[in-house]
Amino acid sequence: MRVIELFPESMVNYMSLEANLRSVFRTGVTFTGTPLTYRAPGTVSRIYSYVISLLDAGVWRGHVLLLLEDITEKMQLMENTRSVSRHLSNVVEHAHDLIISTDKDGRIISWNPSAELLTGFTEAEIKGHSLSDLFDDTGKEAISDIIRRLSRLEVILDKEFDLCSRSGKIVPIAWSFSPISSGNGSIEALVAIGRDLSERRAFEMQLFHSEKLAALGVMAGGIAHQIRNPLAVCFSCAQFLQAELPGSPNSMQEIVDKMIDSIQRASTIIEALLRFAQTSDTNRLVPTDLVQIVKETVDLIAAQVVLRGIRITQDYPSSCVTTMGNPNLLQQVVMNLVLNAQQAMSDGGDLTLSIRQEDGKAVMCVSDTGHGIAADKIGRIFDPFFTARPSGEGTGLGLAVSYAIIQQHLGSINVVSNEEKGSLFIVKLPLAN
Amino acid sequence: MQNNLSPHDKESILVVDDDADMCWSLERLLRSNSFDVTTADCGRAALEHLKATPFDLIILDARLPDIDGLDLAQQILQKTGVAYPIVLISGYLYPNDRVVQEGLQSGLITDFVSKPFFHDAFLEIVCNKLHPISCLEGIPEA
Repeated sequence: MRVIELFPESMVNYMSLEANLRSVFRTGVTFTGTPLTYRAPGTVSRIYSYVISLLDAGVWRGHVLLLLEDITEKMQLMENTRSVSRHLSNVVEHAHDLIISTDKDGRIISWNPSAELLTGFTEAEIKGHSLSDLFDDTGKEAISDIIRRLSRLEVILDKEFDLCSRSGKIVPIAWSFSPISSGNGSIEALVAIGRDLSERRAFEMQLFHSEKLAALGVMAGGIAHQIRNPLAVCFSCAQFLQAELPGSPNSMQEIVDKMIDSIQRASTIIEALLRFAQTSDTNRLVPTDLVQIVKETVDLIAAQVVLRGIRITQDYPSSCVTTMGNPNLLQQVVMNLVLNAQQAMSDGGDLTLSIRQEDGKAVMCVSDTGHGIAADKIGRIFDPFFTARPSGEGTGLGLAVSYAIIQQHLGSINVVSNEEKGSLFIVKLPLAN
Repeated sequence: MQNNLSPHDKESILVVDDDADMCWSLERLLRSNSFDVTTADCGRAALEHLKATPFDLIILDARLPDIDGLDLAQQILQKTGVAYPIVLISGYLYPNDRVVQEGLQSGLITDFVSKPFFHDAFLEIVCNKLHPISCLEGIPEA
């Protein structure tokens, strides 16, 4: 019986079964073929062919074995395994957390992209190094201890210690360590998963900062009360003096005028400081003159701004522009926008503040002639923790807080920016009826 | 200092402030404008004075050692049954503060002045409370 009578002709031809048989019969050398995908109606099979020369006590006596192996399931299994492995490696690759595996002695085997990004070391550079190389002396000791404990198959969660990046930056990380045991109970490898705590720390810092501000608010309230009483007495006395002055030399008049002016200035500063430091104890919105708020805030920081070579132009209507608002919160917004403009103009420039009424809205514009915001960053400018400044120089919360405050006031805040001309922030608030 | 804003002689004003110097300066200012001034350094003393004599106007500090100024205003109304004109003065409150607004709206206080203040503006308020029409028109009553 011929081969072609046993198997489908297409299979025989595609696998060159007859030719292979003939060749093995001729040479006595075993042939392992290539896999074939065979499509019969409704099924797809993967088949592997072998033509084996059968030896009898090491001698070939002209017998040949033709073996056709159906490897469909095996291939499917391999494909599944590959896909699971791809999936797992994707999880590791795309994880926001650092995922590091080491051998049982703590030498690094794998290192995911998050770890690369955070530390600045590539996987190739770091492979084979000890995990403890990434930490300072305290961290190194802790790691040695952890490796000892992992070898007893303990799982270690939520250990916080700092990582030293390539640039020398210290990054706070929360770590979990788990052992990977081989089947026989001994430890084969270790996995360290680390979460970057920088943002959380920044948030905690901000919280701490607001708590400090709240404390300052309480203190400023007390100080204001304590200072304004003697200040009021001084002010009264200066006015009593002034009343006694007619007929006195002009120089006396000048002295008393200066006293009165200075006491008034001190009083304005205390008022502005108190209003800025006061944390809002209520969300109640009251009729608030936006012009007064902006003027007061600018007065408070004008000296600091002008010192940096920035010219301030203010353009307000002569009458009040009254919106429903919380004066402290609105002052915070103006303060944030002005400081933001100041930081954008490190080499000086023009800061322009204007207020106008338009379509039943109070419109406040704050523009600078600074370095502007790159087009790819402008969409994130109001995101919490987004900052264009070098890390450590800003909390990245100023504009986010401003955005939240304006939203709370049922208003809107927008920005138009050009990297050559600077930025323009437009705040719109509903007018009080 | 004489001020034409005070048309009546010897109208009586009760000044309640725990700061002795503040009391002194208010007393001097008001006396020199022909008001009769009595001072009290706490809420209890103020109520004692009011029990003995009625006044034409009360000037009240918002924070006293034994009571809050607005609470004292409430007690004065309850205990004397008289709706005195009361000017609240304060070193830590501002005209826009909620407690001040509520005090004014409820009529517990008739005016609010934050410290420090200009004498003229303060006297105008005091006088206005005592003689609203004559002050508005600037014509002293006969």
